[in-house]
Amino acid sequence: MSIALVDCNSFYASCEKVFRPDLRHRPVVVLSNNDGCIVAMSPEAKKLEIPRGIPLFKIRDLIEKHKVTVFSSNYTLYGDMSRRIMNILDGFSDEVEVYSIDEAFLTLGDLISDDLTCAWKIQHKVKQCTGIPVSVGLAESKTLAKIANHMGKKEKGVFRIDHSNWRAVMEKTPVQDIWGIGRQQSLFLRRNGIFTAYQFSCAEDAWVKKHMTMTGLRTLWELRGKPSIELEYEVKDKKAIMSSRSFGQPAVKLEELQEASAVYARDAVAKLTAQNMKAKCVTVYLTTNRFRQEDRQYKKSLTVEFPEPTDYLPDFVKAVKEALVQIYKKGFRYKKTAVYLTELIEKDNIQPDLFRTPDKRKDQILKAVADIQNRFGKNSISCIAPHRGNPTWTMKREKLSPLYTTCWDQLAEVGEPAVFSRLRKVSVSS
Amino acid sequence: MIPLYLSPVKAGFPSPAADYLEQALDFNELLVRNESSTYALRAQGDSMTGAGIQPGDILVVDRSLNAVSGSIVIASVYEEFTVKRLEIKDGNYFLVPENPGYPVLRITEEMDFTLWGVVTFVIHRIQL
Repeated sequence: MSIALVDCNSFYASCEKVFRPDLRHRPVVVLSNNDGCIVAMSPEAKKLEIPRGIPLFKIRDLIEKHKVTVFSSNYTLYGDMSRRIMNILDGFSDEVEVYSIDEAFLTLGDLISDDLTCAWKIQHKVKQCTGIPVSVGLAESKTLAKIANHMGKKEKGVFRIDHSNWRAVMEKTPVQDIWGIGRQQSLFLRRNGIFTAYQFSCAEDAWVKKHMTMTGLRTLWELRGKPSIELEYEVKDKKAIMSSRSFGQPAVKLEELQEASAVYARDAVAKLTAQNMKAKCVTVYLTTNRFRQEDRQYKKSLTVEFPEPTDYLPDFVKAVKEALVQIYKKGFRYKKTAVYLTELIEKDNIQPDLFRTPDKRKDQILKAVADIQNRFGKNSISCIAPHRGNPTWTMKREKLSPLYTTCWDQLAEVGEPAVFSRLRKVSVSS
Repeated sequence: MIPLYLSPVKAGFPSPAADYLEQALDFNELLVRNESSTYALRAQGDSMTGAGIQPGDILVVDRSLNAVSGSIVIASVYEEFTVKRLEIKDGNYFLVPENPGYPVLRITEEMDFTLWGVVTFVIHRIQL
């Protein structure tokens, strides 16, 4: 049995190409929130040596010269494609950990030979069903699987680390490329004469534990092939509903966290209503990336309790946004937020509070919002609660692609290519 | 499909229909076999009217199905989408329209031909 890391190649850019056959071989870049910096690039754009994270305005000339197509981040589309990919992965394993929007760890098979065949099948199936190319790294631990995935990306896409190539791979991997080892730690290791993963794997346990804490020691064990980091796979729990995703790029601003968390709240409430339930509490959790040692670490959660169980989305969005104001701290790079709904109760079991008059208007508003969302798309109407600082804050997204998979009015169109008209004219005249 | 039997005993006596009640017709179940690989595209041309595809219709497309000769497919030629019937004869691929006004296209390498998916259903609106 081994661990696989499945990771999409240039995920955002790849999503943009699925419904655009005209962009199949063309350079494509995707912009971050507010159309600021480049966050994703297709292989053709990478060849133009555009540095990742560069602000758009700095490369305008390059964009024009090479006719690079630029897109704003279309989170709705990426989220939907991600969902499809994760569902496909569910078919290959009972233990799937969705690590981020485009990465997942899975446990695969029992025999070594089955793992590799499985990995090729995964790559093929995801490409066929979604059009998204993925790389698969196979190894005995998550940390090694990450390295294997990195090796795979450079070649045909599937790579396995086993006894026969372990040492060669370790010697080729510099310490700063090890998952879980941040910049400070890699500088420390290099100062101590440790430059490659192989050299690190030869270090003494006690020494590593002393200077890099238990987290560093676990990474060491993982590199040696001993799985030491648990797979966190989602178990369906009737007591709580969770919605969360890691951010592709770390978020630093409160507004970004609030916007993302509002989306998770909406997702969680959708699951809540689908189960015909209401929730009395909502918990917001935020955290930095614990694997980036160079980042200051901070995580906090806050629970808001409603006077009575509810399924009214604006209540949750307001609570989530205000809770974030309380727990947010400036100066941290946040990896993810999560929204949990707890104290769930079946709709039919609710005892009305004698001293509160239920607000019928809320139900009407909720229904009207749902109707508008069904007709015009999920993002056509949403809750914008005014918050301190800038009540008219919105996100600039001028180059947004259509909601191909979530909105009936924005489907990809299939017309008549020019080649058919050309031939048509010829056949008519002859 | 596994029928769900509902038993409404609220009135205190069993309904004679109780044994025969099943879940209402589920259009998703009819139209979508593989949710992860099913997409909706909108037809805009009239080259397939003979197959019942009219401009404005919704095409339900499944990417997980293997296209065979006779399948109606979404393909791209010269970097544009098209919907046509695929025919394979003696190792040659053809995109065949269902409208006498359009020609048959034999696929050559320079066309950068790709198969995008197989059309399983076409949804045509009659009443606005």
